[in-house]
Amino acid sequence: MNNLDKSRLPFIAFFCLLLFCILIIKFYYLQIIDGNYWTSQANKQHYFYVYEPFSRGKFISNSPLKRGHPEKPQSFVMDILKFHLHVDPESIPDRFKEFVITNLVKILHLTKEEQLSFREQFDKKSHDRKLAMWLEKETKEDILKWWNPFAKKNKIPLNALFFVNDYQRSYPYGPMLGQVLHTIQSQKDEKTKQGIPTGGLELYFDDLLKGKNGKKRLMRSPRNAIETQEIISLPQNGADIYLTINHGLQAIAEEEIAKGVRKAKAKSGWAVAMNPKTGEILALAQYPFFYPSDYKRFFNNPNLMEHTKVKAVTDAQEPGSILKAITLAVALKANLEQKKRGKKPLFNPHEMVPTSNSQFPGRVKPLVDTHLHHYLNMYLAFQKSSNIYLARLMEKVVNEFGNDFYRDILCDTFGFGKKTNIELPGESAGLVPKPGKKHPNGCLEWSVPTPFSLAMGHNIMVNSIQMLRAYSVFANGGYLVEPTIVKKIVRKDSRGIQEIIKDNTSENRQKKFPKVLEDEIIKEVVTCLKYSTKQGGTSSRANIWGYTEAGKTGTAKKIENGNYCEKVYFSSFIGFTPVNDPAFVLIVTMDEPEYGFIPGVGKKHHGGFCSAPVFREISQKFLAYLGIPPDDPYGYPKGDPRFDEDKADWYPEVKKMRQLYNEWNNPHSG
Amino acid sequence: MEKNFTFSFKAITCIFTISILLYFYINRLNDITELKLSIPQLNKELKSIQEENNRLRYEIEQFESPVHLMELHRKPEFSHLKYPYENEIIQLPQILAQEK
Repeated sequence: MNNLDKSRLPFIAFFCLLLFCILIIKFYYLQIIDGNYWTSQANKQHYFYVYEPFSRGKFISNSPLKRGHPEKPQSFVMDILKFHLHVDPESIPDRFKEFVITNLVKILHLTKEEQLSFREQFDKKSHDRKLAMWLEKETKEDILKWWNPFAKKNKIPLNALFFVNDYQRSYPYGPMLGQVLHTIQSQKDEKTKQGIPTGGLELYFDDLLKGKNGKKRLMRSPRNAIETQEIISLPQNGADIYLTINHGLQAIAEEEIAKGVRKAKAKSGWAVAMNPKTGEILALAQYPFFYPSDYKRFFNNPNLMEHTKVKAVTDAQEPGSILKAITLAVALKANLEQKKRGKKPLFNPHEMVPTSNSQFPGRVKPLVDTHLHHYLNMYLAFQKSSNIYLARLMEKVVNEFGNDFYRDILCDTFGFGKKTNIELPGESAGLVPKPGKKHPNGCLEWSVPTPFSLAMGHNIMVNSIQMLRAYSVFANGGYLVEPTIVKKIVRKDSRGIQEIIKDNTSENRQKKFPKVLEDEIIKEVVTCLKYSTKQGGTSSRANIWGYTEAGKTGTAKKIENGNYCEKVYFSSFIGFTPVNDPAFVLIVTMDEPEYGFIPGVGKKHHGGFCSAPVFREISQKFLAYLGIPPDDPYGYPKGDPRFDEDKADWYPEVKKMRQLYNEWNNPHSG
Repeated sequence: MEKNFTFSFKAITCIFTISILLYFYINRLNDITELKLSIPQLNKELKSIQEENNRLRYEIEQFESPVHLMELHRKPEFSHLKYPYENEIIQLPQILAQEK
């Protein structure tokens, strides 16, 4: 080694050391400074993540309602796996596109209109265009059977056509309960991948029905993915909602309301049944039906859109004569108040009251009854649905106790003017006029003649659920119930562990219902309601053969642009059966039945003509379905071998009442 | 010489034992890998069966729809069927039913 070499050696050593230092620094940067970044890059190369879809919550029927019925949960809606067909237009050479389109059109059975937009997708400069949605498994298999060999033969990437799995809301019972359930839109939210509800319970409980996707880590391998058993998060399914509605009762109600609406040639109609003790809605049927699976047709047509809402909840109308039972309760409550004060009662139910004078203070037009009655007592007045008698009672009540007494009973005792808080969107609170308050047009809500209008169910707006709640007070011994459509809400995790989110089945819930009406008042009102459905009453077509029932019919003119329409009516019937232990309270409403008169039969648009028979049909079938034995075994139509006029319920009482009516009004009838 | 032979014998025995253990270890690892490879496939099959099951249940529900059952009930061959009254139903406690 010469001197030159010796002098170079430190430089070389220094240079090597420098390189080594640079290497160390690089290592430091890679491992310490950028360590997380490179770890994640490596993980991306070695592992990949798979999302496990959640299933949206279901709506389950109240099948255990029927005693001895198997308690197998029956869903009104199910999530069924379907497939969306996508294309990567850039991967398919132009010369094959026409052939691919022709074959797909043939397999998918597309119409000429659909073909146009279908073709357009192939011309787009994109790697992902949606071609068809919600395909069945069989259709997917048909496409793959043709596509795979074709793509291989022509060296087109197999994934130029691909499928995306998705769950479709499917309805095993078709349109049943459509307006209540509603659905989710076919296009999901792009960001959250959650369904977008169109209304009904899907909208009301959207937060609970929604679930969360699960996430799992898998290791990449040249041929197969390796399960690393590393679960990042489990899929969280949406909560299941157990409804109070029974599918059997719902089917009966829907069938009968459809028949009734078609027969009455009404615009629409609905029937709602409620358990008067618990407030549970047992059936909520509305016709014309809403088909959730065909929701676009309804929302794209303004004439059909109104059939997507639950009118029993969203539409508040003047109830007409069905409010007379409430009027009667107000008058009887005033009598009781007088008794408490040690004063003479305002009226005697058996007292003969002249009803031919129809002039009332503040009214320009006199009140009229459907027929002229000279004298009536409370029972006869209710049987004949006399407007004048009920208005006279209210005249006495208001003169003695004032307007607020009347209004307070309507609002506090029967809950009118307040939402029932049933679990459905868009509930109308209705309207009870307030003394001293003005309408937007400057007129007073409550004027001198208002109590007389209220007495016969006008000047007040009520929805059907509110009316059911009010009649439940008569059916359950005086308790104001909270209507509900939900029995319980349960969330089950992927390990099968249940979490009860809401429980309406506890006895404590019922104990909270306040007692709002005295037994003696209820007894009198129910007696009157029983006269109404028997011979001589306005709703004799609601008489249920073999069972006792109580109810009232109502026919109200509809208001359009602030005026009463002469030929447009809102006709209803509300009642409960069996009287001593009611299984349900049922309201049947016909919106705009055909106006007219049939000689010898009556007015076609009258509630007693178009709604009462539907009540009878539904009730008869409900009672049979629920297995409730007849409590009036002799109460059948004349000519039926089971009929016995001495033993049939309420028959002797009705006979006596008829004699009394003839005595007072037709003294020469013999 | 004898010392060398003993040492060689011990070494060979050790290497042989270690080789056998290593072989079994690798074999076991292969088995585990094979199982891990089959999990996604089995999972896919299970999922597919579950989905098929769900779809069949949907079709059964469609057939057993109350509307369809009501239509069947109107046919003469089923018209003799009726709902039993509540008082005609006897419910046995579960314990009694199990004893039977």
